[in-house]
Amino acid sequence: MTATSAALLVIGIGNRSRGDDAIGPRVVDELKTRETAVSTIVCEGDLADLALRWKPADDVVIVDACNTGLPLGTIHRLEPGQLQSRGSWSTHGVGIAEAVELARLLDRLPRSLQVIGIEARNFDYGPISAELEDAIPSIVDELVAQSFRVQSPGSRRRS
Amino acid sequence: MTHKDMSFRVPVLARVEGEGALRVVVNDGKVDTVRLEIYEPPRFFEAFLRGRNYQEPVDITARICGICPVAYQMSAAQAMEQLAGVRVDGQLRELRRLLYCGEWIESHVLHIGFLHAPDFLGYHSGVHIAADHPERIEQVLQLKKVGNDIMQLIGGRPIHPVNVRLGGFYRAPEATELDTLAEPLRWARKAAIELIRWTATFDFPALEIDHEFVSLRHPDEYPICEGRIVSDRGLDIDVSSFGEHFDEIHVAHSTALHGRQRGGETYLTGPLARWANNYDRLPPLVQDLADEVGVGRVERNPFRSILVRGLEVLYAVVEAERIIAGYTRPARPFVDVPARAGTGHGCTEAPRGILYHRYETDDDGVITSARIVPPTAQNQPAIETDLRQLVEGFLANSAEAGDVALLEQRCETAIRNYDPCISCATHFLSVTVDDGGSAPS
Repeated sequence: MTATSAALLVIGIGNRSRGDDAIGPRVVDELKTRETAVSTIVCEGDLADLALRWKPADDVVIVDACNTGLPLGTIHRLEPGQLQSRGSWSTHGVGIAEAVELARLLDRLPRSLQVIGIEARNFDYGPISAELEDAIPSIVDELVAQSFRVQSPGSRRRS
Repeated sequence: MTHKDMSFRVPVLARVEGEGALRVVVNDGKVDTVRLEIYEPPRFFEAFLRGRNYQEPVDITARICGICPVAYQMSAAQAMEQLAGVRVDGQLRELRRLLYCGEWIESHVLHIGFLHAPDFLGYHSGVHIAADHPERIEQVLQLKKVGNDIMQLIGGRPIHPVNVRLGGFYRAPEATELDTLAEPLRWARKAAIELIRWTATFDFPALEIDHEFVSLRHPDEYPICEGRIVSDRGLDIDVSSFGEHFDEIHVAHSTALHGRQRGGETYLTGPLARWANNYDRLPPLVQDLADEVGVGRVERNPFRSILVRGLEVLYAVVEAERIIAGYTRPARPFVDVPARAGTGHGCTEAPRGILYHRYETDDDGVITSARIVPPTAQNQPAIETDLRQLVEGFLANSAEAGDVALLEQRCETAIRNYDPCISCATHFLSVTVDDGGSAPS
């Protein structure tokens, strides 16, 4: 596996109908217009089977909205170990942290996994905010330039 | 501690869809109060359907539930098509049934593996099962995914499908596209059988409840998309007569209306009812496996509903295989459903039981009245009946009677027996034991 392999998989997570939560899917939309050797998936709903979406040899980048109070569009880079579970396992409670933990327990983590959080503000019903929409090309520029790098196989965690 | 007086409240029910609580009060050795408290806010779907176009409920009501959107789409479509005097037949009907099989598979498998099995194995969640039995949970996920893949292929996406419209679909898939499901379904058949055999090894608490079983029944098929509304006590009515026989009442402790028959009788809808009323419509493969795991023609222990759900998964897989094998792409993906003034009724078998829709429209096809009766709302009285009988049996068993923690756990499991969808019912639960002020001795 080399850094230029198409086994780089970008998963955009979010609800296109809930304001800035659409940023994950919208980043994937933008990526598809670029000549990048990446596979993409948009995940708008159930995350329970996230572990089945990638292959063991994939380098996976998950893009999702987050809200920490920093300026809109700020890019956060997280390693899986930095994800915090909400401790909820109802059908509504499977978030990225739980889905990644499940993948770890099933020994189905990909070769590498990083989580990109894009600072978002408005999660009400409606379109993505104009300011965040305008920032999508530059967000994707930065992700392509700095984040979509393949990590060493040693980064794979085992249960 | 004494068990003459005790109470508990479970304030937030886990592993159910939506928000609810459980309250149990025992005074002087007698069960005083058993309440399934649903506090999720009402969602007013029926109100905001008024004034909308007759073509819209298929998409709007799908949003009531992320687990069973197809049920809402199919009941809404059936109601509007009945109103317009249009019948959807042939391959379009088969495609709808295939889509619904996908929903039964994903919904039932999620409940069996992640929500209900932990109760019988002593785990906090399906993820905690995965820590000890990763191969089992991976199989559960793969099986659920087969259901989601069917929904993706037919419905355009795995939740809230966008390809369903009145009269059929926006686009009918090519036969070659459906062929891609054949191999996953062959695997799913074996996986479903293994899942059923696994759940058959669980220890089930003894409980027999004499519920009236209400379900659809169809002349030729195990009911999913259509049929008459029947019960094991002689009810046999057309879907359009639902309102004459069934009612909903408001109770103070629930934001979801409680279903009742007009005579006040409670009833149960869902897998146990479908199974009892339609056993003769099942293929030998499913009947034989039921025999093997000890499920009879009628199953009255609600804790064993997990077995019936598994058997229904197997049925849905086999049925999906049948539909795909016989599929030819229809010349047109839908039939026209014109606007018309009138009243339409629809009722289909959601994974949790019968889901009834009724709409009134004017000459322009504008909705003037809407009514939606989801299965969990109908099952609330049955759930409370099970809880009361469970607590009474518990108090009568001196070996267990003082173990409030065990009782709480059993009560929560008894609720999850129904795979309640509170969000659907409010258009649902958390548990609290309130000891009525009596101190533990």
